[in-house]
Amino acid sequence: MSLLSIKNFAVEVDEKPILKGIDLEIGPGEVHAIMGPNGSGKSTLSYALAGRDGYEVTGGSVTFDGQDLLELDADERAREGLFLAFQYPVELPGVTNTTFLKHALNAKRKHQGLEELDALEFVKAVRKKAKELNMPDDMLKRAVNVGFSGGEKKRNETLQMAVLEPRMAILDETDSGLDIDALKVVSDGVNRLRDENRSFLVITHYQRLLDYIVPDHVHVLSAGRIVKSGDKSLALELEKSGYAEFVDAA
Amino acid sequence: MSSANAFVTDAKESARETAEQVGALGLDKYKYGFETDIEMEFAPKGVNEDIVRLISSKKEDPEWLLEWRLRAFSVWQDMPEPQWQKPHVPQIDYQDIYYYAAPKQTNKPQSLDEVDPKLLETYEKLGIPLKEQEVLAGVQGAPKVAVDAVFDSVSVATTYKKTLEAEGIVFCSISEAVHTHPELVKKYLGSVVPYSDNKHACLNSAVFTDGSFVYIPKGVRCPMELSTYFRINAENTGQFERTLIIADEGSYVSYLEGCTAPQRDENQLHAAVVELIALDDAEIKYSTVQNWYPGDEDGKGGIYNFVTKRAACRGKNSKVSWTQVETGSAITWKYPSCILQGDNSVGEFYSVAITNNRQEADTGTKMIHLGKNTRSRIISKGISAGRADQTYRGLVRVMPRADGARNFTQCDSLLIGGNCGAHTIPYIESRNPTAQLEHEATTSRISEDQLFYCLSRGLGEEEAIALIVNGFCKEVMQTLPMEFAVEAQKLIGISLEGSVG
Amino acid sequence: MTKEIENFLSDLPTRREEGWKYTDLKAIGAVAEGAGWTSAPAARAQRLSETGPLAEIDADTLVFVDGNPVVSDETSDIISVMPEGIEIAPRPGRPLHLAFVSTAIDGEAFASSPKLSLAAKAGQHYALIESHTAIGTGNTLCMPRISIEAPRDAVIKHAALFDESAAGFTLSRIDVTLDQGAEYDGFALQTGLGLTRREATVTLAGEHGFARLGGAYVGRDSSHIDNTTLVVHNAANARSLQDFRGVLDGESRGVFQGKVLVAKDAQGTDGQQQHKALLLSPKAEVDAKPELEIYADDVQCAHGATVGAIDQNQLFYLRARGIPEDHARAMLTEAFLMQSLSGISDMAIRDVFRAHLTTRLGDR
Ligand SMILES: Nc1ncnc2c1ncn2[C@@H]1O[C@H](COP(=O)(O)OP(=O)(O)OP(=O)(O)O)[C@@H](O)[C@H]1O
Ligand SMILES: [Mg+2]
Repeated sequence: MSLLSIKNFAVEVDEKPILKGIDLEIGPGEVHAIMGPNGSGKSTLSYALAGRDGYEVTGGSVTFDGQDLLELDADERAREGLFLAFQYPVELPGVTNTTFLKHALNAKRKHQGLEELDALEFVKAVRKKAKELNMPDDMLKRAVNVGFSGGEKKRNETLQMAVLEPRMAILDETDSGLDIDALKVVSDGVNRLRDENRSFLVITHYQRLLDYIVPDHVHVLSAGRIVKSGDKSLALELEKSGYAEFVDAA
Repeated sequence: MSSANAFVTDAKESARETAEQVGALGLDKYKYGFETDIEMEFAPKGVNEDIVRLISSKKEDPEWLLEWRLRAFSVWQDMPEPQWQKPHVPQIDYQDIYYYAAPKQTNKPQSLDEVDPKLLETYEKLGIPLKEQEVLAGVQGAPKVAVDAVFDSVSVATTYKKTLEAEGIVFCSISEAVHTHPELVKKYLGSVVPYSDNKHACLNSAVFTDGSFVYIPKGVRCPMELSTYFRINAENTGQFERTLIIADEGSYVSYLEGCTAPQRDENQLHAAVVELIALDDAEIKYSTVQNWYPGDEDGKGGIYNFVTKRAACRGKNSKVSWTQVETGSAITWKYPSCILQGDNSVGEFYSVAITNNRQEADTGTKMIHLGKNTRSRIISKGISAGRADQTYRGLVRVMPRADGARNFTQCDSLLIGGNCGAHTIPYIESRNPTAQLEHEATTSRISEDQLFYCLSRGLGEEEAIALIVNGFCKEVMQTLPMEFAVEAQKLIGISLEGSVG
Repeated sequence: MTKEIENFLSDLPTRREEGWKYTDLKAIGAVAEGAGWTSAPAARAQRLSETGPLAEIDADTLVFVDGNPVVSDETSDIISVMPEGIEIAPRPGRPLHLAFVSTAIDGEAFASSPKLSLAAKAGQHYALIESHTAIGTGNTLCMPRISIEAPRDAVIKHAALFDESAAGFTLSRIDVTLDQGAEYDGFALQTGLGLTRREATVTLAGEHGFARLGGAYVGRDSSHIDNTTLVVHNAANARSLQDFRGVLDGESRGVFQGKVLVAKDAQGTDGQQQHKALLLSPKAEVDAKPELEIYADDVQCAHGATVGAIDQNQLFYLRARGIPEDHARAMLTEAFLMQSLSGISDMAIRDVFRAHLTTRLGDR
């Protein structure tokens, strides 16, 4: 059975139809990549799945591990194990990274009926994960994303994912803005989390990322529809030919 | 560096323009200071019930209007002078003013040919086109503008009436509208600025003599700019005009107002009231270039410009945009405001105020958010030079029902020389947790870097300042209709003459 | 009762006066007409007690019980009680805590107007702590007036906490004069339930002076919190900074009237002013009047004021990480206020304030 099952999913923003019937099945442990031209609706799909206000579902259904995802509020979805790495991470002045992570992790643990983590244990665990992502300790004490460079923000998103250990992670252009070394560090971070139960939906413009995070399936999203699906070779093909074929088709 | 470069390329062109314009205006600092020698009819000096009745009978008012004037007058008598303003307004001797002064004319002119040639000459000298084939002086290729010319207490001519009538648009003097469209006047007069609003509006309500009336019918986009040109000519005369503009559902109008007065040693009072009403989906753009005589270098003479301007955005999605360029008057005291009643209605206020020599100005706006998702935007640029003193005073108020209201305010002041003052007094009041208000203000002098940059490119100091000031005001000037933008830009140059060194 | 209070009560300012436009004192008048304001008996002064969260900071402590000073051995040599007021010569380097405690119980209405003047020495550093707390719930009207003279290069750090009961009226005034190179760095945290108005005037009388006025407030229930400031630049090349933040819940009201006045000869002035408020309830209100009055041209002055709601993007970001909405709102609210605390240089005080803010935000 699929972990995430999207059927004929249609979404409007400001009364403008953006997603026009998306079908996508992501099984446990699978990595799917979505590529597509600017404005085709990739971020809209990720926001709608994450439950952002203003993204009005006008048709279709989404189930996550068998339950109706669309019934849940944004925070409930997250606690159920859905994670979105934002294309444009939000700055939170006055909230330190550590505080933020602690609140997020404890919210999830509480939901799972687990005890809150001991503060010391927590800090240790976070430091270790930050280190794996080449993030200096002082970044943990700073306010979330405030004054972070584009690449640092993306690394911070990856850190949050590593700490929260979601069942399903959607990465919206987590590779953009990363230098070559950082791209490798972030990909390693993702790959460390890969296992037979955890699934990923990777949105990207570059085949390069898919050299590191090798996908099981690749989809092309154009004008709010998935117009082609294939295996990892599709990404290579796109790199050569571009989207012209699909833009015309759509 | 790149932004400074862009500034200079863009600026060089307009520097040359400004310099040329300033040069073309000759040496006369206030070129509108002449007086027209014309036979006038005056009511006796001073104000009392009899004068109110006299004005009312001169205007052949209907009974209800006379009563309204008398009520206003009786309220006015008991009303104290306002005290909260920054400028120290000398005690005004209300009994030493003529409340009615009109060019003698046996019959009301039926066409321009019948208008006294002296009057036509006056407006020609002022650069105001009263002949329909002409356009505003000095602007080639500008679109046509319909003009209502108010000379002291009365409207002397309105152009393009026929063309406008074809669209169902009413554009005439208010005294005429009282007779031709009594239902509209009765319904809307005083509905935005009640006669008891403030001391000066109250006096205006009692003794107003003329002004313009505009009605744009449903769904009509007014095909040309409408304009009123106010001229104070006679000595010891107050001007109390009243303007009423009604934009019916889905209509649009752009309206311009200009004003000048002769150079005199004594102060003259101008206490106007302007009321705008925008119904559902209607838009009114109201622009003013105020160039009343400012007084001389020592502050002798000049107009007291105490004006009440207010717009009611009554309908949903309605919009009112005020733009003002204030360079004249000894004392200016006005706050063009918007009452945002209709859901999604929008109010805007764009202002450039320049005070030099001994001028004083206390000006700004009020944005009252009543409806849901109402938005307002305030951009104010103040320039103070010489021994002048200027205050921006603005109120943004969000009422409990105004969910989703937004305001943005930017107020910048520039000081030229160490003997002037510039003040910023915003009042920000919110009673709705979903409203978002943002106010920013800065005060500084002309940046030495900018000045040096211009000088090092060969500009003279005065030219450089005019250029930088024009750049400083650009955001506001851009909102003016083209016909006025040129005049306004020239005015900025002239108003600052002698402020350097 | 002091002459000052009598005069004040007989002619209470009304909202028609510009400076009192947003703060209504009718409730003070109502108490005067009812049981009436009295002075607390001197015997009360012996009831030395709880002086609030700042008590844990090690400092010389001078307690005012219902306005009456309690001079202890610890403080006797730095204080002289004179008929016209209390003169204080604080020890440089040693914090001095002025603790105003009100003990009035229901049915009592104590009014006081302690007058304090602090004399600093040139070039010395001082730390001043001020607190206003209540252990009773009766009516109190406290009108403290503190004046500080800072001679050349003196540095004064001042942290104040206002945490009165719902029946407390505090109308406090502080006047600071800074000579050449002197610094005043003040921060006020206001979390009381009654009516608090704090008028702070700082005059930069010498060149190169520096003044900072910071503040954070939490309005809850029907509290009324008013900050009225005036920073006067009378000398050239001085710098001032004002930074206030407030959160308003329930039916509370926040008022900020801040003014920067730059005199004609104060060239080279840098004056900045900022007020930010967050409205949390449909019955709360905030009124801000940040004012610049400037008579010198070589200045850099600016002010900003914002009033708003919690940022929706931030809220979504927190929720997308699994944090429930209420909790996310509370975090963002706290973060909003905490940012202003970073202006407090003394870490111990900052920690006390931080903890106190968290408690009071939790009490909403
Ligand atoms: N609030 C909005 N109002 C109107 N249109 C919107 C809004 N938000 C998104 N859109 C439109 O929806 C379309 C899809 O946007 P989306 O951000 O999902 O694209 P994307 O595929 O992620 O593009 P990119 O590759 O540039 O990130 C775009 O045309 C965008 O302009
Ligand atoms: Mg995107």
